Amino acid sequence: MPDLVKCEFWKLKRKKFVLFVIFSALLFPVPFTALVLKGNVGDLNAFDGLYNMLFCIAVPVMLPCILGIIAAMLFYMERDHATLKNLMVIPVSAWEIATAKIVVLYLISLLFTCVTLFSAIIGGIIAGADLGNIGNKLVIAVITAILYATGTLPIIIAIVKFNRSYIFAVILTFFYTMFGFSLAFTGQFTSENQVLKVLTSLLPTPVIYRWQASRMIGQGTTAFENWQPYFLKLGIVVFTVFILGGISYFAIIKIYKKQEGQV
Amino acid sequence: MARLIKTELWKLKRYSVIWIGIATMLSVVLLTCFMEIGTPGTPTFSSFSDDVIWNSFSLIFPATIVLIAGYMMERERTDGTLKNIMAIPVSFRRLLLGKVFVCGMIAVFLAIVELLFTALISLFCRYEGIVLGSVMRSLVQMVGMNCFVFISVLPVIVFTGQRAGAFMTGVAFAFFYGFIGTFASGHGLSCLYPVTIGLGFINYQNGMEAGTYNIFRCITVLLIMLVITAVMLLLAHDRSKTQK
Repeated sequence: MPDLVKCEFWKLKRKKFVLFVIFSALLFPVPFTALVLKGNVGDLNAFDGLYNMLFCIAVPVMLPCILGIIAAMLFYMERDHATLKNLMVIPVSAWEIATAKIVVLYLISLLFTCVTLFSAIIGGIIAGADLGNIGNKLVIAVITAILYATGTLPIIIAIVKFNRSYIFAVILTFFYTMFGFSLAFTGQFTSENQVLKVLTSLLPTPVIYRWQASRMIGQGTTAFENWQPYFLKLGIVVFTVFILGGISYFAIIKIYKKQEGQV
Repeated sequence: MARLIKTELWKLKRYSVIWIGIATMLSVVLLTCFMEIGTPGTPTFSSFSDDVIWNSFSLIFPATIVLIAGYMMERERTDGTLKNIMAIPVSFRRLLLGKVFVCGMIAVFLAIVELLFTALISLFCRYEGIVLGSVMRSLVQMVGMNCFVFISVLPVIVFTGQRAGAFMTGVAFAFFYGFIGTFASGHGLSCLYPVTIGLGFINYQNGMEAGTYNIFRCITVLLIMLVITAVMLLLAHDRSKTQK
């Protein structure tokens, strides 16, 4: 498996994807650092404020989109270059190929959140803030990366299943991301509507946001008191996201195997 | 130029990209409708239309139009037709300009589609206030907003159009560029941030205070964007690495 993952990275090297991920991760820190320097983070320390904005807004918006685009590239690459039949005669099974591609997505997700954390540190230094416990923030960044990568797997089912153009995959991913983000960021989980209650308790982005918000909204504030009944513990979030991710993983493998049989 | 635009329109007939644009407009209207469910009170057609405009420019339209333009340009490379066009000869600059014009037309078309979906969903959900006057006002606002957002992303389209395989990076950037518009608007920068200057021109009032916009600033930013695009177009050439 490590060899297969290495091969996937070699393929991505041709498309300069690591640079693409780093570029995407560095987009949001620029305006957010400007906001922090302008003093728009209330009572929070500048570094904490920047870190919270990046991990509560930038990561949920940008990371699933980037993962969706890269997933489309990874899964359509074999189809576009007709290399799947070559891989089959080595022999490498569809299960192994699909798993290697998914592992690459997790690694890219980790890279994205680490670059985001790094940019928050740079922004914090520029703002002259106390950086505090970086180790704790790194752990949160890693957990966030794993959760969002797992939370993107449901949309990868559609990308692999429809096996159409890149544009279709990108639009599908954007819609999935925006839908999840809108449910989370606009606080739809506080709604009394039953459909919204179910969606915000099942879809990865609102579920992850409900855990993130519990850590990032300052205790004792009005916002904390209002949202406290809706906060989720990490264990529940991991359980929900991984159940959904696990089902998606097996669905992706099944669909990919079926497509392999059609080569 | 008229012939170039006509041929671009013929090419569009073969691509499914227009349907992707239509699906995007439908998705943004549905997303807005969904968000209204969790909002207290029943929206009117006008407030729903305002929310659609907001979600469209901040969430999806900048990325969609860059995606469509990038795809149209990339197809010339992947289908190997770029070298044939150069031999006619049509300069790369003129080709790019033709595509930019057609993308402008697509932006207007998608605004009309957006209005149709907004009206249909409003009728289906029985939102009040669907009268000819408010529908026409929404049409003007949607067409205007799409045009100004399109102008704001023109430099991105021209920049990535010159480089093979660069349009996905352009799409990611356009997505970020549009999304940041919500923050710019929230911090009184509507008339200085290119994506949001359209709000000033269409006099977008949903929850905004009266007199929020400074039209002089909006016009200045608009002119700057047009000048940047014109300079980029003048200097445009195919920068993709070709095997010799």
